[in-house]
Amino acid sequence: MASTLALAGCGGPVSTLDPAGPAADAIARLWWVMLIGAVALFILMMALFGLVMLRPGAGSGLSRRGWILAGGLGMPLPILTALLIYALIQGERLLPHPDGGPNGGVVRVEAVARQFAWEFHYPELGAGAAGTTLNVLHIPAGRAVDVTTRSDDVIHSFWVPRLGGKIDATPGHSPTIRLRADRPGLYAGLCAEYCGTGHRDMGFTVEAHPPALYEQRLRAALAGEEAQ
Amino acid sequence: MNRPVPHPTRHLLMIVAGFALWALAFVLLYGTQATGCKAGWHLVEMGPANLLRLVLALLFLLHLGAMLALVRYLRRQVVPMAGPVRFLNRVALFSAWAAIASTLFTFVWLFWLSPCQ
Ligand SMILES: [Cu+2]
Repeated sequence: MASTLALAGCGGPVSTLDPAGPAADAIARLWWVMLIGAVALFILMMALFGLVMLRPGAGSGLSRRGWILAGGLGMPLPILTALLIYALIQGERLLPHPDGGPNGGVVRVEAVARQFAWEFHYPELGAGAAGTTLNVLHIPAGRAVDVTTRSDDVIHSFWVPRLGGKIDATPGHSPTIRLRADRPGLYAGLCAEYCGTGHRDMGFTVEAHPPALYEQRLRAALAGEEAQ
Repeated sequence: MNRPVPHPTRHLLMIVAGFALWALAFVLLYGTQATGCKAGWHLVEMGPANLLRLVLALLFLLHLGAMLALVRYLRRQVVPMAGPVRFLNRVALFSAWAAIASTLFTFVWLFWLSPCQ
């Protein structure tokens, strides 16, 4: 019961601990590694603390200088170095390199933020489909998608917690984040940078389609938006 | 080696000198990286690297050199055998070495990581 309650916060549509693609997976894994490491260190510290409380002089086998060097440099430096290198390698792998991801080409979309909605553009879709979708982003599942953000007014942030990290939408800049949804489905997204009174309601949905149906469904969605 | 003993205030200031250089390196590297990406320096190929990486590496080495010069200066400083001035000199020397270690730890990645994207 207690564990069910404790884990209840880990699910839900905007949980970073329920990753649905490689980018979010990398973030979740790093988080777990750090949590487990922190717990281990905490237990070690408390054990040492308990030891010297219960048995004064228990640590005197090591000199004062030895304790300072071991606890101040010997322990944290290898841990921090390993974490740093791990994070750098992971981060480098997730960057939107121009050579594309696995499974062939990268799909490019644009997310334009404004107070208080998201407009999605599909520049790769051929002629006659210059339309946009409002607050719903259509992507193919299983393929790398490069989302380039823009903003028409203030700074917003594009975030689909189950698919990856955040990327700001800043006026005058157009940064790109690479996401991938492993399976078709609906993924909740939100604006992760406070942008005004409507910030709270600036959510959107990512709809990942089976790759074979993607273009057909996207065209249908664009036609639907046009009709409205 | 008959240099005059500097005023103690200078010894005090020397304690922050190493990390002031680190901070300067941080600001310059960060600013250059952002500017270079915007200006497209990373697209200018220069042998095995590109113009942006080359400029960043140069800045990095310059600061490292300046810190090594600081260490040299502190080691050569004539200080009394004991007392506060000697203590300040020792602290400044250790701070400078710590700043060098921090510089390597923080910035050495610029030789490998993608600067833009
Ligand atoms: Cu917003």
